[in-house]
Amino acid sequence: MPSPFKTRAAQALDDSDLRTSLTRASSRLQRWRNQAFDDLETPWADLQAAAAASRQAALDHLPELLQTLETRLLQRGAEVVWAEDGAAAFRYIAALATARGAERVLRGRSPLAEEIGLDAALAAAGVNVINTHFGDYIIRLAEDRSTHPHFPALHQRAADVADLFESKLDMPRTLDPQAMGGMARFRLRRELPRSEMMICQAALAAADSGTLALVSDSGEDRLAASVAQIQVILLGIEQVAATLEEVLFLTQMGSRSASGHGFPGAVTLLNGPVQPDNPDGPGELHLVIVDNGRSALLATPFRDVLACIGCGACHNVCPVNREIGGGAYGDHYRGPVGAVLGPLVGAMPSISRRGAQTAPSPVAAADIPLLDPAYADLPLASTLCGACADVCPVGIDLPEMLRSLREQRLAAKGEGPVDKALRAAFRWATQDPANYRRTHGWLRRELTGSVAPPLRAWQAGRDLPKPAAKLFRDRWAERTKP
Amino acid sequence: MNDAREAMLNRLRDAAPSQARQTVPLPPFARAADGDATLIDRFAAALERIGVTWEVTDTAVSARLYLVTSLQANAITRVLTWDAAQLPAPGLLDTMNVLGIETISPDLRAAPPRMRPQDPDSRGDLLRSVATIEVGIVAAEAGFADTGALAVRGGKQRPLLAAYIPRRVVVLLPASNIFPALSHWLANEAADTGEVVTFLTGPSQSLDLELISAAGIHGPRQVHVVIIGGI
Ligand code: SF4
Repeated sequence: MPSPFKTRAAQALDDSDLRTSLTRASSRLQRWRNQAFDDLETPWADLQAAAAASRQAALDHLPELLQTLETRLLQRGAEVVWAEDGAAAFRYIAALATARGAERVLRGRSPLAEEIGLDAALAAAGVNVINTHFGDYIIRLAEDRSTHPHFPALHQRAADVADLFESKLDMPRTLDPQAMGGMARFRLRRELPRSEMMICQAALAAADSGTLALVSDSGEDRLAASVAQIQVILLGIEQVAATLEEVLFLTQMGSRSASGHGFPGAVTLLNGPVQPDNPDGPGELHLVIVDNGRSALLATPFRDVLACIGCGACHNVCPVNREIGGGAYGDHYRGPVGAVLGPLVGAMPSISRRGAQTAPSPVAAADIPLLDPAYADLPLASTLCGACADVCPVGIDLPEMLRSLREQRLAAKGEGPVDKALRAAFRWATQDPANYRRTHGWLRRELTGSVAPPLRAWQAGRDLPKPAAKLFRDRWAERTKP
Repeated sequence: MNDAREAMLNRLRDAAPSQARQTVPLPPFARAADGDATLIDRFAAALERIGVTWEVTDTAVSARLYLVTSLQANAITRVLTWDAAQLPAPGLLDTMNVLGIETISPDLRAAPPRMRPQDPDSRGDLLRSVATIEVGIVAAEAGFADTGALAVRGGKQRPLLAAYIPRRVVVLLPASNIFPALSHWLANEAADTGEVVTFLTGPSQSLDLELISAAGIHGPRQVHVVIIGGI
């Protein structure tokens, strides 16, 4: 039986409308991103190297950075809470909502809230969650799930959203995004005075100044930070940098990479709750620092994935993600970075429990147990072309991590007869120039038409380029002929 | 949660190498096309790129004249704004009041929150009373010539709601507060005050529907910058 991932991927590949809109959107985002860096005097490689160095320095010094951040925020009257996992974060937030009598809470864009299933848990506890980000608002209305870290409704077509607004919001049908946005504004503004609690995620925190950076395109976080009496801010343990300058540098790298904007649409720097002489900001500020397997991941060869700043650029360039969309990856992890995180994060709590009791030593890749089959297949969702690493603003080598996870998957599963046969065929084809030439000729013939089993299933989800009329080695031989 | 704190920090300590932290040098985001253009020209061009309109006035007095004339021409009768002392255009609020334009500086924190159904809804009443005000006037502490972003510092008598609630926001910016880039401002920034700083980068914009812009969902649909003393 195919795994849930393969089933979802096959469904996505069958949806030609989805593929068209994904390809179009990804190409535009990629073009905007390229333009945003091409316009600059400083070479991309220098910017990427600086951003990578900043993130590596942060990962190397997380304990001191998080403690400095905590001290600064406590001095200004904020609450700081450390949550081992999603359940602990949820328990704190739910208890806070109950203690303050908040029956409705606003929630801004937060991949971390999605990862820990916060909305559903709060809803089950009787707290009404209202999503303020326009993309999330659409997703919630459609009872769908987000597919992109930056644009959660990227897979939705305007025509479908128009139908949705007509049926669920009684809005006369229109395809005008501005009119639909106007309707969302009207509805969400109505919620502001009714909701005293807001949950959002800091993009990054600056340890030296104790500053939490709320970053969004349209500014839902900053508005709520001014209005909400109680502000809860989620922060992954890795989302901290040493200085405010680094935070703002990374923020700009992120916005250029995400949508080509030189600076994000809205950035708000929060330093704590209101003070008697400083009345702007939330009445109460609760920072929830979430681990959820990350501290254990830091001790593994995959630690660099924690450098991610969630820009989504790797999603936009990935030839697999562009075809199947983020939805096919599963509930919380999407795109090339999700294909690394998905199998790992879920496997981490068992390591983290072990680490809490004994002095942990660095964990070898092979020791990491893979998650259930739904996630273990995600590293296969890559051509290993390397495009994700090229555009990653913080220089994460995702292809190498994906390759390593595939190795582990194979080691855990053992080599099946098909794997063995393919390995033998590859060995035969590459160890002798004549065999190589024969294989090449056969592949060129086969790949232009319908291939024979067992390659047929493999080919079904792939649009292969037409092979060149003449082999490179033949052309090379012609050119170099004396 | 204290146990959690210790357990998390212990794991992080065990995984972290022990070398001292180094300062990371950060390169600038200077645009290749800017060449020798003046700071104001670069800033104005950056504003246009992000959909912000602008006007340059020679003095605070001409800024005041320009603003009240524009407000009157647009039949604006109520404005959400900061206290007079916080705006770099002395006499602006008095002039507006004399001309019959009501100026409101909302103090949300003075209105107690409603946490139970039986509590009075004074904050809700305040928010509803200002919800339809069309224009907000605030001042920026800095403007950045590379991106057009504006740094606005909230605080006492400087409610940031004036920049978020109205559909149109006017930002007053002394020309001397224009910096080549954010890093120049950060280097000169005053000691940490703990105040909220927000960066306005044009109208509030969402690209969530097929990447087509929908403006003003969570902030202004239009941002207009008045640069004072820039002639
Ligand atoms: S892995 Fe890199 S490119 Fe992908 S979302 Fe994270 S920071 Fe962006």
